[in-house]
Amino acid sequence: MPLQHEHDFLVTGSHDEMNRQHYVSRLRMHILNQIGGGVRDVYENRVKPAFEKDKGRIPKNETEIHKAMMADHYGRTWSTMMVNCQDMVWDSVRPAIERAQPDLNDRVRGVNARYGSVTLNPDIAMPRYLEAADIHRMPGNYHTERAVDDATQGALYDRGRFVYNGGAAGPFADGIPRTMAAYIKARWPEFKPKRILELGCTIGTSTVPFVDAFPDAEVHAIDVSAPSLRYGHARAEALAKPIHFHQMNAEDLDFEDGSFDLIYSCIIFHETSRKAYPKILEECQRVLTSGGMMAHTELTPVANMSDFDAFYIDWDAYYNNEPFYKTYTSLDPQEWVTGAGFEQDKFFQVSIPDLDRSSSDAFADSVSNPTVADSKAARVGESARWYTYGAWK
Amino acid sequence: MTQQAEPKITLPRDAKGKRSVFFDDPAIDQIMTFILELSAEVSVVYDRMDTVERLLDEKGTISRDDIEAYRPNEDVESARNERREAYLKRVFRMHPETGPKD
Repeated sequence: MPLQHEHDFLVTGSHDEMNRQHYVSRLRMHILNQIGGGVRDVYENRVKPAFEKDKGRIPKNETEIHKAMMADHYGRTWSTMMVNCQDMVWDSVRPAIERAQPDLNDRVRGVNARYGSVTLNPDIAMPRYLEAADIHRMPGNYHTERAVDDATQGALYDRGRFVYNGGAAGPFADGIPRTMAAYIKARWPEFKPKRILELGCTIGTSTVPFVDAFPDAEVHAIDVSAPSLRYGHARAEALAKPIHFHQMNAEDLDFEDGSFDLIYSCIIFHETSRKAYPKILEECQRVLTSGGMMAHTELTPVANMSDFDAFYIDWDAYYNNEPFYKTYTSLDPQEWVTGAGFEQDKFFQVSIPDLDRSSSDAFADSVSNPTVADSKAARVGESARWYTYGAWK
Repeated sequence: MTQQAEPKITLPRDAKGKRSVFFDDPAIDQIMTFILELSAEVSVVYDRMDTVERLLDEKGTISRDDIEAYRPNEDVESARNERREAYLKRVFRMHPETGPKD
């Protein structure tokens, strides 16, 4: 497991706090792999036979599997460990962040922008899906502000997400966007976007790989959360990456029609809402240039998987404060993309092998022979493939 | 006008939204929290011992500041991760009659 790259604004912690964080990462992997790895066996060997004996049939869908598994002590122990560990992730980072303030805010405020910019909109309304519950149980979510020019939540997210991932996404926590950017370049080498927009960038960890992959492009990134953007801007400047951050809602972009050649996002739709999702796709259609492309990496639709896998992947929908997750994974992306005005034959979907955790042959194969067949969903840290879809305009 | 000192920022420990209880007796969920937190503290103490031992091997004598300033390199971190994983397998193992065998 790599250590996190320590840019100028990263808050890690004391000797003991860092070791606590690293332990929590391993604990999470243990719960996912060792404890979580047993969930299927418990279902097949005990819960399913008991259900069959009782009802004279096997569970008919993932909801019935969920109910039966949560009545079993193995399912309960696994679940309570998952929730506890999720809380421990953020709590392992919290004291160091508190100690770093208010100095951190001062340093973020004092950043001299040499490469990019940040434009905030204090009048923006926070969408209900961010206000209703703290996503991923991160106290304060992405957007809460506790002081003038506050960047606290950005710092909490930067370190906390690395602990959550256990470093599986690399020292820059950018495995998914790096994979996406490499894939787009490999599959469509003649595509040279001049202006790129990322939707829901939070602190810009997913923006940087596109700056690296397309050095001639002007890269913009939007998010609704000011603390994430302030911190992301400071981080980008510390890494000398030219990124223009804007506080905007992806449902209602302030950009002109046809102003970007490439619009992308990394696992954001399931954190929005059923109302927001089509609006965001319509905004992509409006803001893209003719001949431009949108690409979104997201959770795999459950239609592509077995009832058991759907139950397993949907755990987060019930217990990790992700209210739209379950509805989102039940949707057919192609239907919604075409519904937003993209042409049927311009749609694409593919399951991309993770750049770091797959062979180069597997990656090359997904370029020459794009498929979604092997896209069994898994949580971050378990998966080595990323379901990506989009369309050309 | 003098600028006021910025107030201290405190972060909540609890997330907004429902926290699920999985067992019929919520005390079991509560005890799981205690056990998991304790497991982290044992690991932290182990790492601190490891730091002390490594510094003593290296320097023969150490101060508290040496310990606080110590940061593992990738090799040390990977040795610690091996130890953490073995520890997790020893402590958090499911009963063989109710779950899969390792």
